[in-house]
Amino acid sequence: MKKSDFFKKLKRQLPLQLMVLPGIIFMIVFSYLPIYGLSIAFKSFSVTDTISSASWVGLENFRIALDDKFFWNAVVNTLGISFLKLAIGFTTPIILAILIYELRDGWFKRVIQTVSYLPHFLSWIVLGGMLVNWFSTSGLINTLLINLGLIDTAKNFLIEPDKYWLIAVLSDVWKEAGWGTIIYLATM
Amino acid sequence: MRNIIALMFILAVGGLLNSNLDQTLVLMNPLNSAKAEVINSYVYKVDLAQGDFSYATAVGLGISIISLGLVLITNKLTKKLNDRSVF
Repeated sequence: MKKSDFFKKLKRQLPLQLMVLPGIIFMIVFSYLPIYGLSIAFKSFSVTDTISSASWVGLENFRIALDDKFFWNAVVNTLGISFLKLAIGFTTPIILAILIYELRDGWFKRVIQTVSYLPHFLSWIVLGGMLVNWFSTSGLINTLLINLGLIDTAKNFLIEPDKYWLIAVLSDVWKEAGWGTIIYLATM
Repeated sequence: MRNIIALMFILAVGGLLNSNLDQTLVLMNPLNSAKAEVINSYVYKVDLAQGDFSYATAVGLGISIISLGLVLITNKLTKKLNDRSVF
C-alpha cells in the first residue's frame, strides 16, 4: 500500500479510528505497561526498593518455587479442582442447552432458563456467604438431611477438607451452568 | 455447534491453572485450607500477607507461561482432530 493511500484510508475511517482509540489506550496502560513490572520476578524486591533499583537475582525465585511444598500443594489443588470443573462444568451447559432447546416454547421454558442463569448475577461474595450459611451445622443442608433421616448428627461440611473439592466444583457449576447454556442455545 | 464447543474447550483449557480466587477466598478457612489453597490464593497470600513480592511474581509469571502453552497445545490438537481452531 502506498503511503498516500494509507492516509486517505485513515481520513475516511477517522470517526471509527477515534472510537477504537480509548480501547487501545486502555490496553496499553493496563495490559502492556504492567509487563515491565514482571521484571521483579527476576529481582530481589522489597518495599523500600523501586522496580529499577532492586538487584537482579536471575532465576533464583523460580528455583525456590520448585522446592516449595506449599506451592506444589496449591498446584495439585488447582489442577484437581480445575479438571473436575472442566469435566462437569463444561458438559453440563451443553446438555442443559439441548434439553432446553427441545422444550416447547412457553412459560416452562422461560422459567427454567431464567432460574438456571440467575445465580450468575450474584457475586461470589454474596453466594459464598449463602453457602457458608447453608453448610453450617444449623444450616439448610444439615436440617434437610437430618429431617430426611439421612444423617444422625449435624456437621459443618466446609471444615472437612475431603469435601472441599466437591463443594467448590458443584457450587461453581450451579452458578455458571445456566449462563453457559446461552452461547450454545444461540448456535442451535 | 461443533465450532462453538471447540472454541469453548480451548478457552476452558487455557483457564485450567486459573482457579476462582473469589470463590476460594470466601469458602476457605483454616481447617480446609490444605485442600482449598489454589495457586491464585497462594500467590495472593505470599504477595500481600507475607510481602514476598518477587517470589509471588515469579510464581504468577511461571503459571501464565504454562497456561499460554496449554492454550497453544489444545489449539493445535483441535485443529488436527477437528479442522477448527481459534487461531
